[in-house]
Amino acid sequence: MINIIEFKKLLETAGDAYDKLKEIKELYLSNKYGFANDTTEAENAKELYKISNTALFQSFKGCIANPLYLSLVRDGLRISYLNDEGRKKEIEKINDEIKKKYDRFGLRVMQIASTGELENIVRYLVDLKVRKDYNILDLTKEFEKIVENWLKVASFIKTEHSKEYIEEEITRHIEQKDEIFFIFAYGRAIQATIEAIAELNIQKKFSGKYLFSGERSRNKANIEYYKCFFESTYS
Amino acid sequence: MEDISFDSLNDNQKRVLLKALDYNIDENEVILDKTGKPHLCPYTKRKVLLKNASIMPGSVIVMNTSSLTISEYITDYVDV
Repeated sequence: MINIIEFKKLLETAGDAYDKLKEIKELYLSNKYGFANDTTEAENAKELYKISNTALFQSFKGCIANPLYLSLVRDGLRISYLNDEGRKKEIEKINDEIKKKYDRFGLRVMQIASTGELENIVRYLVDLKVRKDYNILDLTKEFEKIVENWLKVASFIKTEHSKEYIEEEITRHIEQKDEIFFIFAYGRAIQATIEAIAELNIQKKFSGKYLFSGERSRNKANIEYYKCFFESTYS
Repeated sequence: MEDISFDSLNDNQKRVLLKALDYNIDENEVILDKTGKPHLCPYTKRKVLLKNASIMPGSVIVMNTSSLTISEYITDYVDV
C-alpha cells in the first residue's frame, strides 16, 4: 500500500521505463484513490462519494430500482449544498449537462432532490412499502409518478402572491385529493404562506385529511426559506 | 461503501499514469487507447482530452469530468 501523496511523488519521478510503469499500474489498481481533472472536480467527487454514504441516500437507494435516478438524485443533493453556498455557476453547469443528456424528466428528478424535499419523499415511499407491501418496482413507479406530477404537486409561492392566493392554491391540492403536495416559499413570501396555512388550519381544511410538516430556516447564502409537506391520511 | 479518496494531478503526472494504464496521448492532447484510436468516455461517448480527463479509483476507467459523469460512475461501480 502507498498513500496518495507518495503515489503522486512516484508519478513525478517515474519517467517512462517499462518496469516503473508496471509498478505504477499495479500500485494504482490495488489502491482506492482516483484523480479528477482539477482540484474543484476532485472536491466535487469527494462530496458526491460522501452523499452516497448518507442515511438519506441509502434509504432512497433502497426504494429505487432505476440506477439513473440514483445518479441524478446524487447530483441533486450536491446542488442543494451548492445552493446553500450560493455557487450559482457550478449549479448552472450541472443543470445544463443534465438537461442536455436526460431532457426535462431527468432535470426534474435532479431538481426534486435539490429542493431538499427528498427526505419527505423517501419517508413517503418507505411508508408505502410498509402499509401497502410495495416492492422496489412499485416504489420506483411511485417515485416516477411524483416526478411526472411535480409541477402539479409542488407550489412555489412568489413574493407577489397574496395570502388568499396561497389559501386557494393549498385548497386546490386538497380538493384534487393529491396524495402528497409541497409548498415552497422564500424570503418575503414566507409570512403570507405561514398566515395562509394557519388560516386553513383554523378552518380545519386539512386537519384529519393531511399530515403536515413545515421547516423554516436559512441557507448558507442567508436566504430564508419555508418548505411544507402535506401527506394525505387516506392514501 | 468503500473508502475512496480523490485528488488532482498535474499534466506530467497524469501523462505518466495514463501511460502506465496503457493509454497514449496524441499531439492534440486527445487520449488514445492501446490500439491508437481515440478513447471514448464511457458516459459522454466523446473523445477525452487530457485537460478534462479523470482517472477513476482502482480502475483503468478514464472519462470526461463533470458532476454527472462522476455520479454515474459511482452508481455503476461503487455504490452497488
